[in-house]
Amino acid sequence: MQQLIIDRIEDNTAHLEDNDGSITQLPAAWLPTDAAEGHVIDLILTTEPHSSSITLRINPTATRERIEDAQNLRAQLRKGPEGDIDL
Amino acid sequence: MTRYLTRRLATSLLFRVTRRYLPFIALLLLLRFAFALEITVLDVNQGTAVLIQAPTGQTVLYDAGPEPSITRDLQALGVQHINLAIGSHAHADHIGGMAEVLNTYKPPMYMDNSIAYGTRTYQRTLEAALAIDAQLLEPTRRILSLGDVTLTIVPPPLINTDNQNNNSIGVRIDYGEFSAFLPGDAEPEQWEWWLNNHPDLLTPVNIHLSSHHGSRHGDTQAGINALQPDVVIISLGANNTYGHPHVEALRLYHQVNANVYRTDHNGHIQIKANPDGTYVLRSPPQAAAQPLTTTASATNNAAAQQTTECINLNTATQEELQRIIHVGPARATAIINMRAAEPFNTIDDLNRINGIGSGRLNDIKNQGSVCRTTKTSTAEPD
Repeated sequence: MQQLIIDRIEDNTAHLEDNDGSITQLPAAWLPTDAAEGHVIDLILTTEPHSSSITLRINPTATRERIEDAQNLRAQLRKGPEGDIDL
Repeated sequence: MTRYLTRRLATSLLFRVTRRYLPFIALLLLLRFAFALEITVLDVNQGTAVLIQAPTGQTVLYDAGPEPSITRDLQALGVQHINLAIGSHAHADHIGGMAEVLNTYKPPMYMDNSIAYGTRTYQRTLEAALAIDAQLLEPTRRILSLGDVTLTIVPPPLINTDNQNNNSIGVRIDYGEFSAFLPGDAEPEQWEWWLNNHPDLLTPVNIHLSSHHGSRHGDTQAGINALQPDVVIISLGANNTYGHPHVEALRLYHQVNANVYRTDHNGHIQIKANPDGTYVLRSPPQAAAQPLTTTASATNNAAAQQTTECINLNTATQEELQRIIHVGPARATAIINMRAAEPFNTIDDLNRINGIGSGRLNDIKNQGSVCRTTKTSTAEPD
């Protein structure tokens, strides 16, 4: 099952990030109505003899996990000085 | 006879003085540019990347464009090192090339808007920052000094963290009398918050980077009224799918008589600024676009004066307009009446004039006498 992440939604266009970081654009109207930027979207393919369809479904667990991973990564960075600094 | 001799004597004296002091004059001019602040808005297609190079050598990159290839642009511009990399917010059109920048230049400091984002692009950025052991700077209001140049961080609100655009890190750049403002993709909610919470940072500037690539959802009337920029630079891709720049944004800039330059027309756009407030805009030779040949002074808050002649549909006189092929007195009058109601944004808007169809429009473009953008006074004929 393929997963895409919503990078941003601008002017009715959704920008979805693929596994390799490349961006695919889709009409925002094709997304689930509750979808928002940062959501992980599962692509579920259904095929029948004369048609096929792809369902886009928000994956709340994967969405939460990815945000937690990002928080953990950021927390590992060495803290820089606070206040005004000379570069 | 006496007058003739006097004139010859004066000419001779002037020649000798000029010849004697020419090296000093040249040296003064060289020193002037040697101590200039350089701000380069890179042509990264539909995205943002701004390079800030202080005369004392420090370099800051504000956003890294949508693609890893930005490192090639930076190398072509001769960038040797970066002291600080700032991601205004985590959308891929602003940090798509950040991981490569961090891997290549290994800046000792990195700043983002502090909102953990779930995309792989943000993850790769953090992994790269971790790998080079960059120090993390939080986006609080603070002054970063690069010698006499100061960057003031205009912080993100961090109230509704579901919206990246409205949590952009803004940067105000000051160098003596010169100033510039970089707002990321701030939308109306953030502009209102900035105006309420940091009004002292939103005072008149010389240069403003158009928020959100010239979108109607970017700059606001109140924000532009506060900044009163002489020049607005829009970073955007040619023929982008959003229709940027939107006419609503261009109208805002028109109302404050700002000159507008666009990376899709001019390639990289570089500002060389002096502490007395004077500055020069040009396209670096690495970019394919033509030079802008524009100079301006902040001391009189004058709009940039273009030195390349082209006919600006929004400012040209009746006589000037008639120099355009297929435009006689009647159509010149029609252009003047029409621009009063709604400014011309591109040369293609001429098809609003009765009798100018696609064939005549092509003739006008081929003639090359009309400025590509109209109100904006970009000095590059179409």
